[in-house]
Amino acid sequence: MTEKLLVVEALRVSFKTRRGIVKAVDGVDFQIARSEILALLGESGCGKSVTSLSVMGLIPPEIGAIGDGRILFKGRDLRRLPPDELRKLRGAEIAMIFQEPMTSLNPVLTVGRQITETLICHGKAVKDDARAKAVQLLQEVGIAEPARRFDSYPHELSGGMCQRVMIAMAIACDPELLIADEPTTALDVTIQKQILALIHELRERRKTAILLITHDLGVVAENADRVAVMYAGRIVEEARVAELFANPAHPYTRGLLDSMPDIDHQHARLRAIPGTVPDLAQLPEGCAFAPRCPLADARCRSAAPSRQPLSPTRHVRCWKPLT
Amino acid sequence: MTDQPLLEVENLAKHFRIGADTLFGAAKIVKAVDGVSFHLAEGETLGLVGESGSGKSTIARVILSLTPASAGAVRFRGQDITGLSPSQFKPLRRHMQMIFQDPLSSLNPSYSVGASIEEAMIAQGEPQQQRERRARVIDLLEQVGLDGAHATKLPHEFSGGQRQRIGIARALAVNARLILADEPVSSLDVSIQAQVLNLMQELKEKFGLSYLFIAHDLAVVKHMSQRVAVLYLGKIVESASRDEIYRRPAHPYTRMLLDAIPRARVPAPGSTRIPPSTGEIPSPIDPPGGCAFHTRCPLKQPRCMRETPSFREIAPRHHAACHLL
Repeated sequence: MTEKLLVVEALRVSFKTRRGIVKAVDGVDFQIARSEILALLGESGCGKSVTSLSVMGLIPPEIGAIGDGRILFKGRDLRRLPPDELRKLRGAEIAMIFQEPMTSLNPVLTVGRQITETLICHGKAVKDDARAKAVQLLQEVGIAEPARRFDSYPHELSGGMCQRVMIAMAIACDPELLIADEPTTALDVTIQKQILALIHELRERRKTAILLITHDLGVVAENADRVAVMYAGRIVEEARVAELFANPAHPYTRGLLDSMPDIDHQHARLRAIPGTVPDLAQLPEGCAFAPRCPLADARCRSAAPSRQPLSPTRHVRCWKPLT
Repeated sequence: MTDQPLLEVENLAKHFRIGADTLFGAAKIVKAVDGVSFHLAEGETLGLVGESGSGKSTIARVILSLTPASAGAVRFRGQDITGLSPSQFKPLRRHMQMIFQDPLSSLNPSYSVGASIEEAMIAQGEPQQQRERRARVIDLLEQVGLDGAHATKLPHEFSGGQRQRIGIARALAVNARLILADEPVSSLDVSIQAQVLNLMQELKEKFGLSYLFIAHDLAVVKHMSQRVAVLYLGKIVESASRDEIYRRPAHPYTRMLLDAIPRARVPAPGSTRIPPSTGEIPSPIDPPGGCAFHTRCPLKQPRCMRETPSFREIAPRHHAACHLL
């Protein structure tokens, strides 16, 4: 089937640590269609970044072991590609932007040089026309005076401008999938809105599919088409954003929504989720959320729920879904 | 309650020099805080909101005399505490304590958390008996929702949310009346953030604390504060009661901030997205003349580029600095 751009099946990633084997990602399945924005939502340590790094083939084998799952990009299993083919694909067909644009850019090269390097490396430009193409990209991502900014160093730019440069580099080869890992977390709220609008524009103009990794429910609601909520290395709920925000099915999703202060309504106390995220090296038996779940019973504490369809567009991992 | 505010800040300024004077000209001056005035009543929470570089953390540092003021006055219970020497300021510290954004870097990594909390009491000289101090450490840890037996553990053995609870326990150790909380929950996950905010509110009610609550997150500030002041490039551009400022935001910058917050609800199908604002916060080294916000303001007039607007009452107890109001 070619309709799905990316299909991730039964992805497992574990790391050997001094405290034992940490199952950072433990059986994750999701799909992204062309020009779709899928949000991977979760709190720190839930496995959302490890999932995205696995798709990019950026988990060093000596550190982390990927189990027998599959990562199919346009039908090809990325895990079986020879390293040089994977390297060609990375940056060209799948590109990535990160949370800290300041530290992701090379501080000793001008931003223009970093973009032309990408273009030349993937054969999208030769030395003579690389500069013009890079300036055009800077313009496309909304940088004022792009020809002058071409010669700027990252430290001369603000965080928002650096993130625009990162996006220019990411789209230099017109990728079909853009992975954006907390792209606006380090930015002020007014700049966050600008960057998210830019990401949307790119999707409309270039039909790029986007895997948007975030911890921010507001960013998901306003920007994604579908959302997968992760907890302790698993996707606990997956739905269209409208379905999820109107009627969360998993008690964890409900808990996250309730614990956010609401700018449009005032409550005396927030309904916080009690307890803390479990240690991934010592996960409880049964459902990993059971120790914090108000609905948990004996079955939840003894057996892990499997991924159940609620509707053709919705899945949940819960013995007692709310809808 | 008396009429006298617990804390008054009047025309406070903090300027930093960058580099030194040279043959080619004077050193550059950054006006990180540039004429800020506000007051805080006993038992009240004032939210101070602003983006990075607005000067919000510097204000807290000047109030606590961690860095000297360049001009203006800070009064605590009517007493001018600006320009006090460190030894003169020390007895005041028991009344004013700070909670930091990153509890890990504000706790000594080689001290047990019990020792860190006890140290605050030793610095203030009471309780004098070690036994009493130790008992109080355990009591404080339990007050903030931790196990008293954890007093012997080191900071790295706790999660982020637990460490912030320890930071709060340390602030309470000296019976502080005023807590300056600088982004206390911005490094925490949503589910943990709610726990810490609830704890701060419980403690406030229990001990009658006053908070200067500094944050960039308008939803969190709204949840915690009775009054809110919005900062832009070292100046307060708008201040009012919580309900007033969120229902009737007057300053174009406040409105821009409120529009930019992503709401956790899905836009109705077919609804148009509010376009993002353009431009970025200018460098405080070389701030724009006139109204500092004019470079980003959607409503700017020629006058805004020339004249600095005064901060005045635009509705009862609602102040703003904008020519258009």
